[in-house]
Amino acid sequence: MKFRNAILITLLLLSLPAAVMSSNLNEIIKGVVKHAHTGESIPGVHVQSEHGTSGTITDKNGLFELQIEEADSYLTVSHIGFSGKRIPLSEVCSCHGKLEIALVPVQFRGEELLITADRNQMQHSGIYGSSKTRSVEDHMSGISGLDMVTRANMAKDPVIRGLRDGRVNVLIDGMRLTPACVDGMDPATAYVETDNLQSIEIGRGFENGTGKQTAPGGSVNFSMVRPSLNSGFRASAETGYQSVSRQQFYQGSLSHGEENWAFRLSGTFRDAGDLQPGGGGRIDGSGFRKGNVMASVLYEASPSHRFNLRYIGDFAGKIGYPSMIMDTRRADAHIGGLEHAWSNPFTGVHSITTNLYINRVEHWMDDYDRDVGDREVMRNMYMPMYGETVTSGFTSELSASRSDHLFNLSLEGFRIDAFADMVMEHTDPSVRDMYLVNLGDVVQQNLIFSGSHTWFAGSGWTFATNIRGEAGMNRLNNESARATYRAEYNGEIELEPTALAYQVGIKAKNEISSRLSAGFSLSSGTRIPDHMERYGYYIYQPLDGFFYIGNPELTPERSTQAELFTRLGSDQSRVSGSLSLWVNQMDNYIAGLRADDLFKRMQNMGRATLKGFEVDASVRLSDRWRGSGSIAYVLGTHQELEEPLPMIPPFKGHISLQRVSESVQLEGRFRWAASQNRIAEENSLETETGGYALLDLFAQVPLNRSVTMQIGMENMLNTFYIEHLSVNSMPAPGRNVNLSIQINL
Amino acid sequence: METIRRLPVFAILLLVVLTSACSDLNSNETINEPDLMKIGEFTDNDVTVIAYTDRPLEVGYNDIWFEVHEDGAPIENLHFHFNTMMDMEHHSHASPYGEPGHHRDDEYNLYHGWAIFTMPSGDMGTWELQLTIHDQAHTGFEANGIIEIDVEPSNRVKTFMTEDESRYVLTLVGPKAPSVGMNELIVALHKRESMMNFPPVLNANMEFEPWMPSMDHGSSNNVSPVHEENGFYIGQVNFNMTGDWELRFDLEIDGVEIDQQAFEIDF
Repeated sequence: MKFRNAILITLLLLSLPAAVMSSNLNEIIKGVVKHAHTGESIPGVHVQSEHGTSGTITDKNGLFELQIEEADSYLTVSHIGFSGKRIPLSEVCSCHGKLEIALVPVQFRGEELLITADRNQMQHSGIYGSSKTRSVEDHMSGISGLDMVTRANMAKDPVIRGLRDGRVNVLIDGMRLTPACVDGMDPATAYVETDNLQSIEIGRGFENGTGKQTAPGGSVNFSMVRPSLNSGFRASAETGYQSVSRQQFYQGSLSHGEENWAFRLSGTFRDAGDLQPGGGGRIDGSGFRKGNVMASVLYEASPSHRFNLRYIGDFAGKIGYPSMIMDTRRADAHIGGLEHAWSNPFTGVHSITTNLYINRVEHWMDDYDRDVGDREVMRNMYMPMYGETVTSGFTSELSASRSDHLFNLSLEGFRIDAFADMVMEHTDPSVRDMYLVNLGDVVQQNLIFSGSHTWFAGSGWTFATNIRGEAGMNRLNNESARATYRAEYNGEIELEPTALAYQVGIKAKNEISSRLSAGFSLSSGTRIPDHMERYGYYIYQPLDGFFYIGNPELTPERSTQAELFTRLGSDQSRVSGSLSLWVNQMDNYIAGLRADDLFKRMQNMGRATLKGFEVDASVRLSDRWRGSGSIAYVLGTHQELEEPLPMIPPFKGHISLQRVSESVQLEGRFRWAASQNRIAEENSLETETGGYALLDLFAQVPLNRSVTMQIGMENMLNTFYIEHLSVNSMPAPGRNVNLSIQINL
Repeated sequence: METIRRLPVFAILLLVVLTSACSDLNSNETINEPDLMKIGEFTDNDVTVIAYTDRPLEVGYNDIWFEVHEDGAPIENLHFHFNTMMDMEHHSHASPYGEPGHHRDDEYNLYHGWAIFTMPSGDMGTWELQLTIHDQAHTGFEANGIIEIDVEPSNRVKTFMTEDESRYVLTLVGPKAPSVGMNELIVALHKRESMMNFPPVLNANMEFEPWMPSMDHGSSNNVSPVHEENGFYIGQVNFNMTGDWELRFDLEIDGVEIDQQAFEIDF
């Protein structure tokens, strides 16, 4: 309660500086911001004076007007997805007319994958940002505050600030995708390849001021690559090899763009053998094989209307999960969507983007290749499992501005249909097969409205507020599953619960100087329990070795978050960096309550608190050399149980040194993690993990204008280590020599 | 004079009333064939008795229904003497049973009884139903007969002897058709006082747990059976999946543990 009062007081205080602010403005600059390659005007670009004393955003035609003070020497121009610019005002004022600013899209340079965290471009994708054959997990591995749950040699699950699963939105172009495996063997990352992506947008914690779909932990949005108009024919191919798992990969793409239409076709195939951890032999049964195709068609019906039809098909054969009791036999995903982008529909409205989508995931797993007579869990039992989900929905986002005010409105609706079951076949043929429904034709339907308002208030202040309302409804249609839940909860249970959730937040940022900004955000919101938490039945959770039973009567979990942040410099600065200090207090915390030595029931379990920090820094040592580094720390405590929260990543970080040039590029990287001894022992069966330090080295060599070679060695010292978020302590990869050749035509 | 003229009418009415009362219950209705399995019949003194069941008779608890009619006209308000008898080569024995009441039931409009068979028919011996049926006042007709029956094996009956050499019959009555979820659990406990006498045990205490031996776990929210009436105990069992289950019972009488028994169920 005190915390909420603090938010209200802060809201009041926030209004004061805006009211008392005065400015000393004496010149007006007019200009237009355009796309450097297409010449199209760009609406919504942030334009600020050096000291942040004034700022604005471009209108639907990319136009802006800005009043500046005498003391200002530079104008900063920034927009997500583009390289920012810092323009001397002396040049601006000498032009005596409309200033024209051309922004270069970041992803266009060598078709690099753009990675952002909290809307800041991250430098840690390294020199291999243009490599299509690196997995999406590799590209995300250097983001502070983001960790990955490892279950196998692929398909890692994102963890943001210690939260995962339903507390983190993992989206593909804003589309929701529901894993079909109830044991978490197919997170959304399993179904996208780097080749599919234009950018990965990571939000840490509630994202205030973005109007985006938001969750207590944050979000990862895989933004899909779109064909480019007027691009002519392009083709690329890449092949490579990784020694640590004897993985071969092949990727190819073909695209063509005319004046008002374009298409892109691409595919990736991976074939990996058994993984070799540091200093040891290979882990039997850890290989995998999968293919991925993508087709995308862009049609510009008029300058204001663009349609993008896209499809991703991902098809995996056997995927070995040696740390778990089963392997994936087959997994198919079909992801399709139609996007309509309407530019400048009304005065002051920059765009309305609407997306209709549907995706279907099927997942088969079994343990037919295992020695089931020699294990502790489910001995002498084969357990083939099947899971299927269909997720359909729409999103519609509106972006508008008026004077110094930017507005984002979003409406989203989605429906999840999920089914999963398992058969237990005893090795003794005289024992009858057992059958269990894990998800009995579950339906989840949610409708979400969100809106945000950003005010560039002058004097360097930017204020943002946002609000979100959500209504959710669940159904359990399978009669056997309904009977099961009535039995588990003594018949007195609502099997078709409805719930409401909300989120409100504020964010204030001040440009203290041209190089330094600082601010804070406060937010509070609730999360409707997901379909697994409500209806998952007999779900084996290898993270702690318990079988979980859902609870249809869970109430929404509340999260109250506060964050202090500061940012030094910008992408163009010689020295740049950021610091975030945050705390997340969760009430009605949803977790499994230990019922006996085998089962846990999902419950609202009092209060849990997470707090931590992230530090990122980047320094341009010379024209060619750049250094960067990050550290992150999370402390999680479950007050109700008086013990640490389980699966909290250890204190970790990295330092890298990059040589960036048109010729040979080099990168050396030092990764480390401290030991994690704060583990949950009462309600979970977590184990401690030791610290580690690793050295990596990469090089990218252009062999000619069209051919580029990438070669690298990760974990050069072949160190044996186990990441704390590795399920059942599966060892991490040992020394890995990787080589790839990329051809662009 | 008028009264005398009406005497024949009164006499006829009186005759009709007396006839209907003394014939114990004939009516002008005709019997219908119920949606049940016929297991046998006999006719004695012009009264026909037909026995039905809802599934093949098996070791354990069985519902048995009777139609009693005379020339196709159902007879009402009867008194049944009903016994089960296993005829073995050197001796015979009965088993627990429940005689039908005086009136027809609502479900099938038949006389409903039950029997617990403790062993299957076979080379060891054969089962028969011994019946004596008469009107309630026992002033009218009486029909005697035997219906021979086949009893299939099952594992729904446990007969056991305690340390004091008392013998009991524990019967799993329900669920008859188990399903995933919560099921009504019904067990019957009878004491074998003699080969022909099986009185119900009314004061037992039962602790109950279902278990899947192949999975090595049980289920939650089960309710141990408590005595309802006439030796029948009712509780609840939660089957959270299909497969092989053991229904485990710890039995106590007067605070003394008399035995542990388990029924195996596959579904």
